[in-house]
Amino acid sequence: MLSNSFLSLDEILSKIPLSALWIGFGIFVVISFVIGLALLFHWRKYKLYSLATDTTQIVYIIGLLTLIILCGISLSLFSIS
Amino acid sequence: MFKLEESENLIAVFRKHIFYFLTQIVGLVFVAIMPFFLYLFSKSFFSLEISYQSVYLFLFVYLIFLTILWHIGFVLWTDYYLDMWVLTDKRLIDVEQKRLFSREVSSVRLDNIQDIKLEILGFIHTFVGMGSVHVQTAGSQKEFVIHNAKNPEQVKEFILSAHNKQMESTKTVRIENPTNQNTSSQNV
Repeated sequence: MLSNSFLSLDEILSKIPLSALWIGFGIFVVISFVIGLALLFHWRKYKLYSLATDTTQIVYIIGLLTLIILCGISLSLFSIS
Repeated sequence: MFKLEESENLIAVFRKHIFYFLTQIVGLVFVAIMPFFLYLFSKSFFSLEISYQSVYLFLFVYLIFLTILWHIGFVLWTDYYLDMWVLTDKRLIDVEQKRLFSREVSSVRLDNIQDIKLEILGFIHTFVGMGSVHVQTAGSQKEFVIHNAKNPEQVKEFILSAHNKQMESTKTVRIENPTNQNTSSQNV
C-alpha cells in the first residue's frame, strides 16, 4: 500500500465523491466534442487537394468516440466496484 | 483559401517530409507511455499495492490523458498536411499553416523567381531525403521557404522546369501578316 503515516492512497481516492467525478467527466466530454468539432471545421475549411480528407476525419472521430466510451466504461466500473 | 485562375493548371503539391511528422508522433507516443514508466519507477521506491477499485480510477484518468493526446495528434497532422506549396503553370503558392485558424497564403508568379537554393543539413536529412528549399523572388517580396521538404532536389527541378516553360512562353511573339496570310514565330 502506498501510504504515509496518515493516509493510504486508497483512502484518499475513496474520499473523492462519485458525483464530482461524473460531473467532471461530463464537462470533459462536452469540451472534448467542442474541440473536436472546431478541429473538424478547421480541417474541412482549409482542406485542399487532399485525397485523405475523408479518411482522416473518420479515423479522428472513431478514435475520439472510442476513447470517450472507454473513459465512461472505466468510470462506470469504478462506480460499481 | 485560394482558387486557381481559369486557365491555370496544377502541376504539383509539395509538403513536408512524413519523417518530420513521424518524429512528432513518436514524441507523443513517448508522452503517452510515460505514466507506465513513472509507475515502474515509483514501484521500485515505494511498495505500491493498489486496489482494483483504484485501478479503474487510474485507468479513467489515463484514458482522459490519451484523449487529450489524441486531439494534439490531430492538430499535428493538420499542421503537417495543410502546410504546403502548390505549383501551377503560372505561379507558386505558399500555404503556411501557422496555428489553428491562422494561416498565411502568398504567391509568386513564376517569372518573378530569381534563384532557388537547397539546404540539406546533417546525416538524417541526407539519409531520408529531407531538406529546405529557398525560393528568392524579384522585388521586395518575401523569400519563399519550405522547411523539411520531401525530395528537395525534385522540388527544385519541378519549380525550375515550370519557371523555364513560363519564361519561354512569355518570350515567344507570334506575328501575323494579314496580306499573304503567312504566319511566323519570332523569338524576342
